[in-house]
Amino acid sequence: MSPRGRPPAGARLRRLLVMIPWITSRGRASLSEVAERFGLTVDEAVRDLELASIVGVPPYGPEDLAADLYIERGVVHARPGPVFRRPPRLSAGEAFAVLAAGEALLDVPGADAGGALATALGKLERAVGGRVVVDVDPPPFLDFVRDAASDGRRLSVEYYSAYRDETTTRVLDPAVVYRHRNGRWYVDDPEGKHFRVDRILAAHDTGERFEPARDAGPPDSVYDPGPGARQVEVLVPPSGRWVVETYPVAHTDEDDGRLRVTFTVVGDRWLERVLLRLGPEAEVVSPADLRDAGRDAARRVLARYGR
Amino acid sequence: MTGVVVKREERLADLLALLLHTTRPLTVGEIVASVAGYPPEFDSARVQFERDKAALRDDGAVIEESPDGGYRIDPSTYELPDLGLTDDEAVALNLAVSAVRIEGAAADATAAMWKLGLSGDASPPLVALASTPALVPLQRALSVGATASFTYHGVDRIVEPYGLLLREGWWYLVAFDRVRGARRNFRLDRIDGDVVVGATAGEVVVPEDVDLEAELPDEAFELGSGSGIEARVRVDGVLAARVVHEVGEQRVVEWFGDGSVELALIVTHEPGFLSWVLGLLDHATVLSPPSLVAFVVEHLEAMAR
Repeated sequence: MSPRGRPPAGARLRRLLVMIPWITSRGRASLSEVAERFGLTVDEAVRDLELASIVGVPPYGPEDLAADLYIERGVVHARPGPVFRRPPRLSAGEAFAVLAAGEALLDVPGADAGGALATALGKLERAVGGRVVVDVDPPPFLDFVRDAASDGRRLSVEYYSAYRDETTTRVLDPAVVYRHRNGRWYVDDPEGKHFRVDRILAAHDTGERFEPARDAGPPDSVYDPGPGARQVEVLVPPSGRWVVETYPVAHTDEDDGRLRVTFTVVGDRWLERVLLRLGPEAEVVSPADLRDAGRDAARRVLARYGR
Repeated sequence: MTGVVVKREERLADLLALLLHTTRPLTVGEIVASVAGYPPEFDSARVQFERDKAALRDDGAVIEESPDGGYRIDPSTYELPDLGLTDDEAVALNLAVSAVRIEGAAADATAAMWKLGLSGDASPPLVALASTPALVPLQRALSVGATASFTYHGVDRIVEPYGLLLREGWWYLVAFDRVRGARRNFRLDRIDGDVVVGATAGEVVVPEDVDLEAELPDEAFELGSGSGIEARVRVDGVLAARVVHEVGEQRVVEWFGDGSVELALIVTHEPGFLSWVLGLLDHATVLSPPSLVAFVVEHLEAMAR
């Protein structure tokens, strides 16, 4: 029971209202088809179909039932009745899910070659209302890397590491390509190490092959500090609260309004960027050798201005 | 039917069928006498009916109440209209829903697939999208053209929603803020508490000129308003290509032999510009105007002391 004292009408009723028009518009389907379609066991499907066969309108004669339905030798036979000939409208959550999915794929290179997705979304948007836009922003080498991943082609890439602020040339076996929920595109190697596609500055075929794609989608986390990571504790002024929304960090509130934030730092350059943005009021507490990291970075940048 | 145990789903389905099928509003008395499963005493039956009605409404049924206390459902408000999808369009939509995983419980595409007659696909997803609880009520408001109310940065807002935009992992609402009398963007994860959808459908009309992507600035230095100032920035060869991809080729003034590039950026928000240029560390120098150079240098000098 919900706190308000009545449960929502329930998953079973919602399923029933879709199952009835589906089965009556087809006329017949095997029990295993029904079960597979609705994610049920055959026994569960039979119980749902039994319920489907008794609902209707008064006086509940055979022609008043929503589905004139019987099961014979594992096959369901059904004819439509006076109600539930069409499925219910999409709920707001369902409409959002389909619109967002379609929009997310729309600008992925090669995902809508024929334009059918765009026209389908247009029809859906007119029917359900609302406007959803997903900014896909494909990086330059996305298409190239996806093709290599599906063919199992080994690449040589120039890769910029923002943690270390350096560009290296390395061999990359593009095992899985995906867009993480943080909005960025990644390519994982077969060991599961993550590379950002927008940090690939150049990519070439090596002519070699690797064992192609793992059957995997986006991992839950792409934050992979590795064995060399260090814990850095920083006192952050109130104006720097954005860091706790932006990065996966632990923090506590200090009495003076500042935040005590513990960053897991892989490369010093990443820490420098954060400290430069936080400004002179941010203070590295530990470790001792990083207390001057912000000052040193500021001096290095100032040197570009001849200061 | 007295003495026969009628399952709740059956009673609700029969009630829904009756309200959809009737051509005139039915009284509570007529309803509880027709649908099996209501208690014989009228007062108890009435209480049960009220609960059932609320449950169906929670699930989206639009139950009309006539002035003399009768009830019915207009089938056109209940039935999914035929979208008229071609086979190619159905395949494309099917692939999209299978290729995208919306994280969190906010939105479930499975039931939508059933209703649209799509079958799904077992291949692993290509794209994961963040979600937040505010998305569903805002989609509801958008779909019926209603206002939305919520608390944002501690201030109560009432807005006319124009659309939802996902950028760099964050969901934004583009809307007209009635209190401020201006268009505003709201980051959904910063909404405190629930979003309340206004009761009046059709109240909000989205103006023709709304372009969601253009309403939200691409870069932190494009926040704010006004025509802005043109900033010239030189980026060295290490980051030049990435920065040009980010800000767009049209910002390039000149490429140099050492791989570096000079850019002309329109800055409407100086703190945003500072944050952006500091993220480039010592790979970038602000060349002009002098006021912006001084702003960046002062910040750095305060840190260098």
